[in-house]
Amino acid sequence: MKVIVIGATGAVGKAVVAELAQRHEVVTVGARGGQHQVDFADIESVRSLLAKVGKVDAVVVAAGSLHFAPLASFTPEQFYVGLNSKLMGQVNVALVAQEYLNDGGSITLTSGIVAEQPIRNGASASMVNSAVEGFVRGAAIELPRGLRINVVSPTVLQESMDSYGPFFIGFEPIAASRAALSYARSVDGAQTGQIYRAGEHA
Amino acid sequence: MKVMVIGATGTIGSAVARELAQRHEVITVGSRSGQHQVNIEDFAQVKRLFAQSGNLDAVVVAAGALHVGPLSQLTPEHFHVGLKGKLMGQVNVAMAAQQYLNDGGSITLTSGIDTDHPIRGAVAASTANAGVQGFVRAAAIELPRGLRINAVSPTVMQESLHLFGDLFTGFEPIAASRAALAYARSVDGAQTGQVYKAW
Repeated sequence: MKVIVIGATGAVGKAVVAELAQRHEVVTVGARGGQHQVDFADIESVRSLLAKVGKVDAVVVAAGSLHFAPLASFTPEQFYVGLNSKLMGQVNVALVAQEYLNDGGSITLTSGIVAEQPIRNGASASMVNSAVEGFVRGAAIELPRGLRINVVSPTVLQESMDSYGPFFIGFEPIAASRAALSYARSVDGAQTGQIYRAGEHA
Repeated sequence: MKVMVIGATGTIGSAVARELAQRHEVITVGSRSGQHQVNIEDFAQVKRLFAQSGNLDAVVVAAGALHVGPLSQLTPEHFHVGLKGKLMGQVNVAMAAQQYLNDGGSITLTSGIDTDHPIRGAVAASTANAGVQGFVRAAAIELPRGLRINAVSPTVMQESLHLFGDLFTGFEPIAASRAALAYARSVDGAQTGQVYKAW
């Protein structure tokens, strides 16, 4: 399979590339690094990326900014950081990918454990990650040609504990290589409309 | 209790206002009618509305624009209709209401059954409604002074079948008066961070 990984230079994306490259041809995309660059908040940038790469069998996105702050101080503009980036960036990729995916191809997006398990300062993160999951459930029933769409909801990664650890006290961190298995289930599997919870305990 | 109902002239909002008015003082707000008018997409207008109304015990929102259309034809702008209207419109109300709610007061927002049960043509709605529910789950753990926040996720209303019936074939419609009970549970109850499924 030919697979594009957007966010390929991040903690999750790097591990996804390592996992998928064992079996597939992987095209790496980053905001600044990778084989190609994209500003996925801009659908035109996504269109030119896919026009360059051409037909693919799977698209994975592990990217997107979010603003973290106490609820009381959140402004509408701060909510729009995540809506424009992590939500609409991923939606943009899914909308454009429809045209470039071979029959039966897949789109795999990324949400996060805070969609279900909120943390302090995470009002935007919970909103945006839940919205990504809502998008995936809705899109799964309308995609044509056997195209599939799933979302991976990772918990905090061992590799990210330096930056995110204080937000996730009591959450069990997992290795990025374990989170990457959930992406492989989506890419190599046959399900659609699923939320793969990577490392979440009920 | 003093309760503000935003979207009070809509199908659900008018039923909610009737249900709550049996026990509470209700202030009705609409985009064009009601005792007060507001465009919930404009945060400055929402803040002015609360400054006029003064302190409250509960705020209910049953309002917010959404785009309905097939996935294959959706553009980012179509998604932004719901993100700006149904999602950020309600978030604007919740953010402004915090300062004007009495201790233990509540905020009740509206999502929709398509959050959990997708239907054709509603992917932009599922996106915005899921965002509302995520916001409610997270805001619930940070609100101070015993303030509460919940969402009601209604199915299609009997009163709206002539508008939306084709989208919801096989879904059992309920009377708006029954959906209004879910809002009453949020306003008169004591829970927070809940999604009340009115279906």
